[in-house]
Amino acid sequence: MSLSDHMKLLRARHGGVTPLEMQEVTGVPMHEVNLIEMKHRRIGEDDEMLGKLAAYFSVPLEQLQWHRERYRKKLTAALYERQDGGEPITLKLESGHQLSGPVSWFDRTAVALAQEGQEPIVVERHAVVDWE
Amino acid sequence: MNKLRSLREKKGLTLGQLSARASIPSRLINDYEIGQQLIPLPHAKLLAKALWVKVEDILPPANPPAGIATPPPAPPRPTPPAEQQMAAPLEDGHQAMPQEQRSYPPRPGWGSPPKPRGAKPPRPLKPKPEPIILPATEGQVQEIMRQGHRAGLSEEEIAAEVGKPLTELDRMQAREWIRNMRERAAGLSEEAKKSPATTRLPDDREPEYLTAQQKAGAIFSFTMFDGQIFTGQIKEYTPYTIVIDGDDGNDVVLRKLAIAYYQRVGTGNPLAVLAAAEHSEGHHDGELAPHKGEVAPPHAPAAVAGLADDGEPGVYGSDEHALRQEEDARRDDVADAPGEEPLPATASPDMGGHQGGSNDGVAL
Repeated sequence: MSLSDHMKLLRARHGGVTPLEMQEVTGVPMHEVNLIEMKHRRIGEDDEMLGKLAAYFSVPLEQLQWHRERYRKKLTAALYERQDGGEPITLKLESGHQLSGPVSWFDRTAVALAQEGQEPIVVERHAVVDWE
Repeated sequence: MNKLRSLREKKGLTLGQLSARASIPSRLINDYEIGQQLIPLPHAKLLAKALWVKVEDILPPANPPAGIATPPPAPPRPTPPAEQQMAAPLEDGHQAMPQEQRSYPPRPGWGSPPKPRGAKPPRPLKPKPEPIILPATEGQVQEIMRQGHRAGLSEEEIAAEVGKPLTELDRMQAREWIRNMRERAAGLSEEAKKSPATTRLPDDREPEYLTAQQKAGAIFSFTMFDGQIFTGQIKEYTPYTIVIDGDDGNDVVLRKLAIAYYQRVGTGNPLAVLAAAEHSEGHHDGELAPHKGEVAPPHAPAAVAGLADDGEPGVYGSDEHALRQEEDARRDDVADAPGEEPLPATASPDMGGHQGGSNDGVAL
């Protein structure tokens, strides 16, 4: 899961706190939070800022750094690679499920994994925590 | 006074009027009248037509019809004093021109002999200038280096490929190397299109899929972040929500951000499809369970070992995983305590307003 999606999830789990409310507490400008949530590329280089956010959400800094390395474009590149090679991909979801299959199609929001003898499973990309 | 002038005066025409009628310059007509020039036949015809006379009436008897015979030399006119030349008006009222100004050079096509067209002497061939070889500019050297770096070459590799120091290249060679390196860098960029930094992908595959399935009346089973499962036909969808027919006939609005994945389970009656799914075997991992209206706990058990039930991957280590499970268990205990409501696991702050409390059919 990208840092963008993880940040949204953390805000949701904290009662839907807004970036403005976070700014008042942490001092991290709200536009920085908006930027983190908006971008598909690798973002969140400032560890000091990430540390403040991690402290606010009571999560380890390493957790945010881990999600920072799994940005959305990286998943896209992996999907392209597997699709071109015709190899299956395994997606680990936030819900704890693990789904595998060849990439049938994908776009900015979802990935369809072909299933033998069944309809494809459409996975929302924001639910993908990791892949292999 | 020759015949032309007498005819013109007889007809009562001025030089200007005759000039306009015959389309011949009055200066030239004046020359004809005073015998300065012979009248060529074409002009004689024009003047005859303008004066309503025959051509023979205009041409002097000694002048053959062709009008190109050598006329008798005009008698030299006495040269008037300069003041008289300048001021002497003509009989028709026109200002006479000085003698010097009235002598015009012969015009081509107006009686002047054609220029002899002899073979031109061959031009001497100019020796080709020696090409000036200029050394490569500093900008060219820098551009070769820049494009080479773009192509993934180091300075040593670039120098090895060129075969000599870049500063010893001449300008044309440098231009060729710039083109070469640029093409190689462009070839690399084609490959790099699939790199994470430059990957682009379509936006509309999921809407296309949902539209097709909606038209087909397909029944889908949606698994949410928190493990809840909703099944029904897609009624409508937006980039943020999907509305399905609930079991009780009410619409259920599913937020896209709260959906983990979904799968088509059939068509027709959703309840019948669910019943068939209950009796089927061989569901894949994470396969759908029938939705019976109950709400699953916010953190469904992890289906795969090594993943924390909150979805965090196992990279934090197995010890951390166990700690996180305990922490989550405590969190669940607190959330279940009287007077407190559990936090919605998958609520989206962006969609606003549906966290906790009554959801009114809105899946969070």
